Amino acid sequence: MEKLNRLVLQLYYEIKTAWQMHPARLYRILGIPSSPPSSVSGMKQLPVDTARLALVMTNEFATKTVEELADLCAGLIKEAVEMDANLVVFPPDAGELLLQLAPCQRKRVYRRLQAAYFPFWSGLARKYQVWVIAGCQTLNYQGYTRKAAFLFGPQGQCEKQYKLHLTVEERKAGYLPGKEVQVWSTAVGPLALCFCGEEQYFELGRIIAAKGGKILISLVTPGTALQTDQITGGWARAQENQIYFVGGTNIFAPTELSIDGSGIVDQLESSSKRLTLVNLDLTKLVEVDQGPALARKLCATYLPRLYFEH
Amino acid sequence: MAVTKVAVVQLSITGLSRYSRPELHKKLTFLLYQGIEAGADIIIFPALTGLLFAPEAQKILEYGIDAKTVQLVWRLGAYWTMEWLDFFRELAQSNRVFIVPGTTLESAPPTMWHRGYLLAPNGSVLLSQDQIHFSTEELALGFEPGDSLSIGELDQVRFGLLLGQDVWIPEVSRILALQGAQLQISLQANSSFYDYRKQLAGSWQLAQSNRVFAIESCLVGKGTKTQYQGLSGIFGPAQAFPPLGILAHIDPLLTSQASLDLGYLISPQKDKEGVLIRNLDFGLLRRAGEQDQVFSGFNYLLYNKELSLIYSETGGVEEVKESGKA
Repeated sequence: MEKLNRLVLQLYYEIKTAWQMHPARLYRILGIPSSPPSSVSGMKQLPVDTARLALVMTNEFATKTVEELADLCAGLIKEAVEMDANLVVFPPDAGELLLQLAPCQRKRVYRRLQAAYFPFWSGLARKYQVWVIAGCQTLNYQGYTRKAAFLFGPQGQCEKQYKLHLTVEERKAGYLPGKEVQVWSTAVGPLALCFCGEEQYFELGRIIAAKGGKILISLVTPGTALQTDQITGGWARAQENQIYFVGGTNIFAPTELSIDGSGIVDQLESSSKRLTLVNLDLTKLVEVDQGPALARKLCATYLPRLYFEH
Repeated sequence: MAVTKVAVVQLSITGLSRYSRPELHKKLTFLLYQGIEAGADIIIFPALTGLLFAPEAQKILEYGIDAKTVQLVWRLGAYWTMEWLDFFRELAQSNRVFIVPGTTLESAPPTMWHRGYLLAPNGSVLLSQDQIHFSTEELALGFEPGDSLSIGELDQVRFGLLLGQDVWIPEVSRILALQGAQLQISLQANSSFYDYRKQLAGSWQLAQSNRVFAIESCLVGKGTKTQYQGLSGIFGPAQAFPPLGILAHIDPLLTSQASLDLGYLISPQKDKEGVLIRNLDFGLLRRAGEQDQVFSGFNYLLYNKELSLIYSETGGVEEVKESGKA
């Protein structure tokens, strides 16, 4: 009897979550029309001179209802838009914010909450006509597990970047790496995303730069990366490819573009503000010394062959 | 050889024009003997050391490389290169050590190569390496980029040479590391402004990203029209050699730092002569297994597709994707 009661209760929670997280209900909570336009492919992004990014520094997202969470996130985005930001970057954990609303630890309930991630964030981006980076999620599809970071656009579009460089532990846990690097034309300019630690691979920076990327955003929890890792990662990629790097509390640029020549545009205090606005002048990137031209022919003699032979 | 002792020379050309040939030999022998006395297995001299061996070549150091250099190197390069290599060959043989005698310019008009060598204890040339990446101005002067990256072996340790700007191109050190080079030696003669930050993007960086030992040997000092700046150092992966992976540095302040200071600008040591000596424990490097951790993260399929394009003739430049398009 007790088992039956538990099953009924779990079913009730599942139905309740499905109702609470139904896209139509989420859109009503956010106060926007029910669905985004069916196609946004005609949208042409104009060239950008200055990128204005708002970085969400707070980690205080504890809420009990989806309405509270929507209010909290909408408040941050509204504040960012009022500061003239074109892109709002939430911390990596933002991908799992909805999971805190689970009434019970049941897989099917979690799945409903995970599915609600997309209408929730795309709705917010659409409401405020701004680009939003809303952390990452683990996706299971046809037996494959991948980590994906998400970018939502003002038309309600959702773009994703799979994690490309896996750790030994992730491989052991059965994760699969992504196969493609995405660079999107956005209101802050050509933008690419990566996961914390991936910026250590110069190969990624090279591919992003070749695809026209000007800003690389790494999903780093503010204040977690070691100083040496910051310099061997984002700082180095900015120097090698003449791009901006944003990761956690660090914003790096080619050394010529920082006032003191350090390559540090800003190093933010992780707890000082809820939101910080960063301006990046994309026009200055073309003035940076590009260094010697890459010896492509020599590189092609060895790479990518040596990766396989190693 | 699990442990190799290296001696890295930071060589100054200040007052060089006053040196007679015996005085020059004495100066180089003195620097080399600091390494010998400390028991070094390999002694490393900086880029352009070969140019000290002919009065005409000294002019290149004093006044900088210009349009006439290629002709001068073509006429006389073979003589001073021979004299330079013979001088260091004798020292290698008599002291039974490996010597990197630095680099020289070699020419067959209209082209010119910037070439470095490594000499074995029997005096033979174990390895030669040409510089690969040059600025547009250097290419206009006639420099011809090298077309291969050689690997040498010193007992069980593989190593490679990086000349000039090659150290700032991450592909070069990656290619060497993928071929097993655990010791990468950067030979420098920078006649432009040089500071610690430049080094962090070069030698230090390559040690961290490939989890290998990196050595930087610099020519420094003031010529008539040229000022060479450098900061010689020995680096290893910070994970295996905490806190920063700076094992020895010509600026003692940097060796004792606990964190990297990107604001640190002027080092009084960047014009000074000196010899750095340090044991490199390759056993420790291997046991740390750090390289496996990094290299296991490679995305083979992605690299195969994208890097092939980037290194092709067209450079793989693509249009940025409009969001929402398939």
